[in-house]
Amino acid sequence: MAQEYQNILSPVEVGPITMRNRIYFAAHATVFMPLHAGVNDQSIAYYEARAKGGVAAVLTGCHLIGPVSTLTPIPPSNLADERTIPDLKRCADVIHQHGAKVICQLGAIGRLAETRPFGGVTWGASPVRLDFPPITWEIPHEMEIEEIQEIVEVYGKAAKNAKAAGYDGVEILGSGGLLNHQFLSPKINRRKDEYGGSLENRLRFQFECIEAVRESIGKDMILGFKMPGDDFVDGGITLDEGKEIACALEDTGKLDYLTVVGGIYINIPTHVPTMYYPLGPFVYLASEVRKTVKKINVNCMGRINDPTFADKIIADGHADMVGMVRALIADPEFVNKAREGREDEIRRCVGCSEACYGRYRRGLHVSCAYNPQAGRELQYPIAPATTKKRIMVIGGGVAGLEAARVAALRGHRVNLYERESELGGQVRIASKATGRTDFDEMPRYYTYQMGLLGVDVHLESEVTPEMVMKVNPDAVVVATGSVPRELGVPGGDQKNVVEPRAVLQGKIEVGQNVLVIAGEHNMQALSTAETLAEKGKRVRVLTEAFYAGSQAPFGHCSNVYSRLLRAGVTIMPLTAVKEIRGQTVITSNVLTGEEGRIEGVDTVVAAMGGKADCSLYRSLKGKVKELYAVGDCTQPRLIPQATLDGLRVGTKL
Amino acid sequence: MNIIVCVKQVIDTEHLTRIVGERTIGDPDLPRVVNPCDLVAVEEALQLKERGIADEVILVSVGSSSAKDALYRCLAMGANRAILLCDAAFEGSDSYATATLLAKAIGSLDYGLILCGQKAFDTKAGQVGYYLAEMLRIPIISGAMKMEVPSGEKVIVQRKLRGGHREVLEASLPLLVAVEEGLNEPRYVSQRAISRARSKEVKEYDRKALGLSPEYVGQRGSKTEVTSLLRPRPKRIFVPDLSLPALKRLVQIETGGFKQREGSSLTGIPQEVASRLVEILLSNKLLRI
Amino acid sequence: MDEIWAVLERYEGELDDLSWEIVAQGREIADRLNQRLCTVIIGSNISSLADSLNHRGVDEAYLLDDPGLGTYTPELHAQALSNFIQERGPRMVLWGATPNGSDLAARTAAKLGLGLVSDCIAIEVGKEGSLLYYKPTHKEKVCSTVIFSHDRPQLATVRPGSTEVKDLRSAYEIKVTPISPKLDPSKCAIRATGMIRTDPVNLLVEEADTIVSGGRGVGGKDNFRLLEEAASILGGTIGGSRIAIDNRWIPRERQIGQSGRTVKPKLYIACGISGASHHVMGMKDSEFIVAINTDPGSPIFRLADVKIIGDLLQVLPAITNEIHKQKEASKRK
Repeated sequence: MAQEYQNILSPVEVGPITMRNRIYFAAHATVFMPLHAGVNDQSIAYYEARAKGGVAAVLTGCHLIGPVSTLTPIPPSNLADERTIPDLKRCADVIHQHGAKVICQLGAIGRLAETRPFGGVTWGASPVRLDFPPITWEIPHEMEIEEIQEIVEVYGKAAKNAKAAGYDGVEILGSGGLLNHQFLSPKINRRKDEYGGSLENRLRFQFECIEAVRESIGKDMILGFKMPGDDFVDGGITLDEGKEIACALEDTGKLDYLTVVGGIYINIPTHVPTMYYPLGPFVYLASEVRKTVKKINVNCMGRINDPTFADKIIADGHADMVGMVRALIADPEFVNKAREGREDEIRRCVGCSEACYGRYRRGLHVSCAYNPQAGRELQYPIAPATTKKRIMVIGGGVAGLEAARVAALRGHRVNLYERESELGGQVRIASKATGRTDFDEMPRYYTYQMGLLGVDVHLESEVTPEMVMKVNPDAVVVATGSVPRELGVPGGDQKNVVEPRAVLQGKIEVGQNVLVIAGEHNMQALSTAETLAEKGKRVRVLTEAFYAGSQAPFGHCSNVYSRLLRAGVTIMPLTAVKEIRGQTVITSNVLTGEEGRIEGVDTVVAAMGGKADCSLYRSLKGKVKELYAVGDCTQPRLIPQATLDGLRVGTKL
Repeated sequence: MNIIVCVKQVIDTEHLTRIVGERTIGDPDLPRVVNPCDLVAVEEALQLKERGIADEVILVSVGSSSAKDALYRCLAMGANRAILLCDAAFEGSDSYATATLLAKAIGSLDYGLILCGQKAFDTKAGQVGYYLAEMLRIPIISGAMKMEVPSGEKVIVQRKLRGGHREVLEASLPLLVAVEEGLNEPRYVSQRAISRARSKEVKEYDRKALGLSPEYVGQRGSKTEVTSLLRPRPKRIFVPDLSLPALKRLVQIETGGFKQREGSSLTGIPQEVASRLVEILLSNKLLRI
Repeated sequence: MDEIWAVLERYEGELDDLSWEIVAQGREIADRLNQRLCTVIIGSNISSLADSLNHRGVDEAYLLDDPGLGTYTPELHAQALSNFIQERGPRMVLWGATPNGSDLAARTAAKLGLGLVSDCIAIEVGKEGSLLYYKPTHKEKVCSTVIFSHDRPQLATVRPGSTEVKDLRSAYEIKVTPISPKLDPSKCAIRATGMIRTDPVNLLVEEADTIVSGGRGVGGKDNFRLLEEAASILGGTIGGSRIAIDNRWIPRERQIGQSGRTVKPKLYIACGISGASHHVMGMKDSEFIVAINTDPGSPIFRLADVKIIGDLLQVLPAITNEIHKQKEASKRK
């Protein structure tokens, strides 16, 4: 065992059960199934990969129990229904086979549900609307006592089914703004009966749920409670009350662990810290609680993606176990690699939330920006190739790198060509923006893998069709990426109109008064704007959409917005650029057509996205045995799509 | 001249996953080992015996009867004989009371040098040697990283200091030296060798045999008392200012909570900048010329 | 009125940094017990040292001043201190748990036949003024709570880094009391014959007083030589941000940051480091920070006491040369 990680790799007792190490795959919405449902083949394969990868426990869920609205009966896929037991049992068996424990997270959605899809009525502790950022603007129905009892009962039923399925434990979701949190937080719970007001009353519902679950599972299963240490809204739970809550929960004598997290709204960084946050920013909540409780286990989570950092958390006594989500989505083998001293091989989570959280918010199943196989374990298994080929990959951006990696893994002989002096393509440029140095982890990972897998990397090599003919490979994968798309308005070719890649790379001098045109609706314009504001420039951002960065993952976008506003950047929505004349920019309102002028602009940074650079592909068509194109050179998109292209082609070769 | 080595059997903390709520971790099923520093002390004594500087290496230990396993391991390494001070009345002894027991046992022996480990793996007090030396009225040098005994007369020790530096001290025998891990590499002994060592002498003494009255031993004879064993306290961690409104707390967390510093800017050609910086460092006592 | 004593250590002629932690710890206990906090400094010609304690939360400074106490001589120091303790009978005596502090505390406890709790991380004052000591044991897996069987004096050493240093300025006008210690050199059996100094360049980053640290801006393994030269002449060692380790420019144990080591040196020189939050979290408590970077927008500058916008490849050698020049000049004098 690597001496370095002796703390996270040491076993720990959680109630009646011993965990083999300190790292667990925490519960998160995977969207392989509807939120109220159990597990299916896709989710079982997903969980299996992490169990195999060495985690101590896998938490499935959150399985939302209870009626979503009064018009929808509890569906057969809901854990409160016995018909879910066979699937749950399959899941539990698979996880157990790999030596990990399995715990079921149960929660009730409460006012976060919407009535629009289903009709009926949503339930909440009090008729209080969600504040910014909204998941739904609806005001819920104030639950009556019988309705509260119904939820408590359904908790008990679902827990019983988890036991019948052979699960090792249950975790009650008391945070994240769901129903239990709605009863716990004084910001949301305005009730005047015995379930609202004092802390004792607000805890009543929690105690009843805990009692019901413990009654169902008996004493040989683990029961945990995920609780808020701080709501991070004024008028909500703060750390002082959080400590009281923790002590009260411990005193029930029915819990084996507490997981302490922050935040009441599930789509700002308190829930899923962005790359702008340091590592483990909310570990302090768990630490302070752990200091206060008598002896119950306390777990922490949130942007913990490094084994040394995780080890320090345990060594310094801040928590008993560390929950990881994105770190394990990015690399299911995290624990095995740490244990075997192969930490350089770990694909570390970058914190971009592009394909994990970003997809969940769109109702798409979870994946990872540069582990496209995550969530697609069944669709894209990586198996040895039947015929070993000589592959030429042209382009060292993430698309080409992923294709090269997968091809090499499968046994092909791969040569990778890159024009610049280092690998990474546009991701290398993205990392130069303020606060986004984490992106460097992607090329670091791939560069290491190239060495490990025996891929011959040729840097500073521009590839021509003649070179390809000379090399005469069995297959060619073109990953030449994209060039910046022009602004395309009169004056767009002026010398003071530049594009963000060159700005981030420091290749151009930018004047004092800057206008950034956010034409690509993701993070490029906003991050460039922040980088320039940091340098002391006066920056304004223009976008045609209702808000800039509308395609970016919401938590990320709102985080960078708050940083831009703090840095004094002005953001102008619904504004298009009509013409640029010298230092004057003529604008027009997208909806009304009303014109405007912005004077004294020294530099315009036009972030218009990319234009496919497919000339090499075109010239090779029909001239090589097998030809593929991946990434931006087929269509300019984002990192997750580029790496998925690479995975597809890599497994196809 | 004989060398006495004080040896303690400690709990193998690698396997400690849960605290047992008693005042001393007495669970007999927990695996136990010889305190690592003590092995170093035994090794050093044996090397001196092998060089002809010492005649006998005598082990002394305070413990329960399971401590015999620890003594056999050290006897297998090459020590001559062992003394085990064992009695239920010794439970709850702190460093002072333990030293009282050792002093009584050692006081009647003939020795030139006493070696012990600097700290016990489990209780980590690092004080027994000091009390023992005072009770036996001999000097003590602790923190030994390197030890030389050129003849049978004096000892030269390199003592560990801050910052990795070492102080060179010397004193004449009789002397007590507390050794640190790293002073030497204790020899490996096989299970067979340990079994064979069971034929060597381990003499047990209880309180009466030692001739100590009850008020000098165990908890009664101690100066300190462990009242409970708790979960380790977390190290200090940055907590944002809880009096701030929520959004500002989040900004503190996001930016790492460090105070911005009003730094002075140095501009100019490198030589000018360098000379100005060196001035600043000298005036702040960060550099000594 | 009863007294809480804090025995302060000297390091290279000044009071060492740990002193402020011990003063903070002592002040808290003194306030809770409504007693005075007195510091004890042992050495030779030390009257000036008490000045830095003025207005820092200390009621009185006892200076045990004698030519024989110039360097740390274990037996003489223990004599001086234990005689003084016997004379005055303080309630509690605290030391920092450093090699010399721990040694002096243990010798004093042994000489006086008193108990000692070593390496505490916290001391609590209970009802009726009882004292409870928290001490990590069993390889940090257990925290033992300890009490003394006698009421006074209670002796304890405090683990460095366990107490938060509060800014106690502008309180407490200090009374300085020189004491002539009672010494008997004839009773000393240990002779100090020399000192072996390690080259600071070999120190771990956590131990070094000065760190010259490199990031992306260093550009390559060869350029780290410039950092090593600067570190060497400054009496420190080198470190780096994650990039320096990922690129194999320096070994992993020199990584500073959240996924590496946390350091608190007296002087931290950040070269070509942008100041991303996970690096900063590992060095933000450094006493004095100098940042060298070509990009004026680097977040590291917000943390710097001295900001240098320039190329480290030119500035570092200039610094090394300047110090070298001044050292040569002073040798000639």
